[in-house]
Amino acid sequence: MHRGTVHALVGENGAGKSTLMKILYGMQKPDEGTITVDGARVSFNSPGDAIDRGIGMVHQHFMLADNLTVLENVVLGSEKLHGIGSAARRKIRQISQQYGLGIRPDALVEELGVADRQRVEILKVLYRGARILILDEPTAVLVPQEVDALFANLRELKAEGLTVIFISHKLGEVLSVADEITVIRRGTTVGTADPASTTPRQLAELMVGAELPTPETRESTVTDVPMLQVQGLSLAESRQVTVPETSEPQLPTSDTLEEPGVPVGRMLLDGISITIHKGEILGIAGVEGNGQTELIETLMGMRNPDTGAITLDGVDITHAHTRKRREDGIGYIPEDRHRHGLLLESPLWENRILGHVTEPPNSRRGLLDPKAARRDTLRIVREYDVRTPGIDVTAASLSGGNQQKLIVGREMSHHPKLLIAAHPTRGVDVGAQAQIWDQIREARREGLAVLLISADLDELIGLSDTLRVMYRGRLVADADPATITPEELGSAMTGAATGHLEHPQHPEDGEAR
Amino acid sequence: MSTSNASAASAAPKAPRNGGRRPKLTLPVILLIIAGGLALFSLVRVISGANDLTSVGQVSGALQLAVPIGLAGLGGLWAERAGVINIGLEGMMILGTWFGAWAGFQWGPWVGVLMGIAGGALGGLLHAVITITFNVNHIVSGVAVNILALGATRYLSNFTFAEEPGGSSKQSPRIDAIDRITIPGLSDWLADLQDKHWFFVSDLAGVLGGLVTNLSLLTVVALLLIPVTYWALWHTGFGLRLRSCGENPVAAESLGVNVYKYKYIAVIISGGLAGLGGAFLAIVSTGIYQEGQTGGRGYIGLAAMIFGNWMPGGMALGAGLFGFTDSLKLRGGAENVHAMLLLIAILLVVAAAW
Repeated sequence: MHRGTVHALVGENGAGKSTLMKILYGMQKPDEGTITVDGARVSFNSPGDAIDRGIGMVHQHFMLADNLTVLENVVLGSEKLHGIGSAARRKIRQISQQYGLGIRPDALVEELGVADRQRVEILKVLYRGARILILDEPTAVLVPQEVDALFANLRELKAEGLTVIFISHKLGEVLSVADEITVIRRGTTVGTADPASTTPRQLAELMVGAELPTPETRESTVTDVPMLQVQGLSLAESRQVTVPETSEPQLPTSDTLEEPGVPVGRMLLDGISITIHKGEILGIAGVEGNGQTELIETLMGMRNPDTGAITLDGVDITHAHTRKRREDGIGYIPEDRHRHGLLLESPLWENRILGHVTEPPNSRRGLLDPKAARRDTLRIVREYDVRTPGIDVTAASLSGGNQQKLIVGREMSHHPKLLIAAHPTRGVDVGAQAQIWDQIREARREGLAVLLISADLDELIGLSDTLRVMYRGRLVADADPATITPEELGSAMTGAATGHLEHPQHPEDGEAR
Repeated sequence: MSTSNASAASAAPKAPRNGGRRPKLTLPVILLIIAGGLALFSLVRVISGANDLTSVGQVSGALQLAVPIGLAGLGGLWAERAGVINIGLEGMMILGTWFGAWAGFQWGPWVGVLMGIAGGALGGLLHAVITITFNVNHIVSGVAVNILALGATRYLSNFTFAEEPGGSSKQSPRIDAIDRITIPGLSDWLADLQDKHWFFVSDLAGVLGGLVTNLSLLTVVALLLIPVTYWALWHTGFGLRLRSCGENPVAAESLGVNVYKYKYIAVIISGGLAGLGGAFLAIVSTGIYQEGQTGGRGYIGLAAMIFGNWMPGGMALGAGLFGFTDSLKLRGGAENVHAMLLLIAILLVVAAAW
């Protein structure tokens, strides 16, 4: 790959992209082969060596310490550049402003949403003045506008002579931003492509040897039997956001930029009312951190709503326990599978039991039945095409897409009435994506109600029967997925448009407010 | 001053209600809390007549008893901040007492202090090898260190102390004392003031007097280690790296931090601090090594650190509390205990009224 280019690396889950990047970044050692940087043959024993050579990496799974502040996370490992005090803070503000990242250096990472964490990761690399940037699926969490902004930044970096290695599953993005593309399958390079003369379809075929799937649901299966009814659900932030008093006076512009209006005790959810019918997929669009996570957690019983009522299939479950809700038929594909969906250090069959401890086939007369659970795990592995050497390996040893397939298989195996799917295809390759979509669609035909939350707008539009837009804890707009475009949806997600979004008669900001 | 007091007063009652996040403690708030606590003590003293409650001797004794606990707690803090649970503090303290006494009676107290630190650090190194390199469960390793330290010192005493004049297999010969300092005029004046038993003023004098009277130099060193720890862990790049190993070692490694190295350093320092606590017990508190001298102070130090929310300041407060109650028990007996019961009753009433 060449200086001043954006080089894209594509391939299926488990194809070896992440491993290759880990070797480049010095986290793993190659068994054989060489790496050459700027004409010099190098071997990296640790990430420190890679950083010294000007290689910086933004990991797919964030490498941030939750209990440290943004500032501490950024300067860690590079304390010599600008110290760890006010000089570093100034530098971070400057980079943050230069690239419009909107980062508050003194916030605890714990308090940030996924999108903010991603921006901290990018800032970390920029702070080190890296010459070669490795971005592992950087766009998975961003809305189209933000993706465009990121790509503009990448082009800027490219113009300054930096090299960007870009990994993505979204082939359209790869084609729009990359100068060169390398395709990897099962650990070897299977081809290179020139983005100017390649279509997404060709690229996908090169990747998996299959056709590019689309998330479209063709026939409507919506019935008029309501499955989930949510009435006026509200939740106020319970903890105080303390503004650090150590921060020195700052420029008024950076002030407005970096504190995007976080009043104390703000409403996380504000009067949410939704109804999902049997056989309906309700999609919720929104920039991350606008209450989607809280909505899911309230529906699952992980948080208690301040006001409002939740009714599942005619039964009030507003104050029911999470266990009861799951037994009553709520399936849950969590947003962050490492934090909520899996026990990474446990074998697959134990993970299969997780969350369904009291239900057959996992337990019989109040006792666990490991034998039956193992049998059923084998069935899930087979039916959902989880690629694994066996069911006794730990969940951590599977690639992201295969972990997700296991979760989907587990949740679907209990025939839920309602499925809450948060980013069901995040970090999943096109092949597995199509499978997950198929499974959701099939279950929907049998009367499953689905609450779909996703950052992938194509997925939302293609899969949903009804679309809502969430902004600052409120449902501000609804749209018909048959006519809306991702761009229109994207602008509604930033709060620019409200009400019913129609296409194409009105420009979206015409009816706003 | 009045405005800052007013704002502090209005902020204080609000603080516990927002739950979850800990309110930020500013200097005026801290001073106000200390003053309030002292006033309460003063009230209890006046009512119960237990004049020893805040006397110079009492506070000075509390300080002396708090130092070993605080040093163990500080040791625990270093290890835990780097992600290693150090239940072996007790054993490292035992090593500190033995090595401190062994070197102390032969070559003088300061050499004893250094050898005590080295002995504790040796225990820390052992703990580090077991937990970091061989990845053994931290609790198992810590308990093993405790048992090993107890047995090793008992064994070593048989052919070191037992053969010395004035020593036996259970205790060492006497060690020379470390210099103690008393600020001449101030100390006497504060003692006089305290003897008058005025409300609040005498109590303040007693507390301050306890801090400037008959103070061992090693106590001063130990007290200084608390701000030094805070500075090293929170205001240097070294400390940031060390803490990052405890918070998220994978992230730290991805940024080029040698996680193994920092964990080793942290656990060895942890052992050294516990060893210093042990040496303090042997050299300053009693001037002699005795078997079983630590009496579980390593565990109490760990408790003080947890009480202090893994922060040096809070840990010092916890150690002070343990030291104070120890001292009350040793000096006053029943009278002081009754006074403390009254204090607890008042606190409960205040808490209920809140």
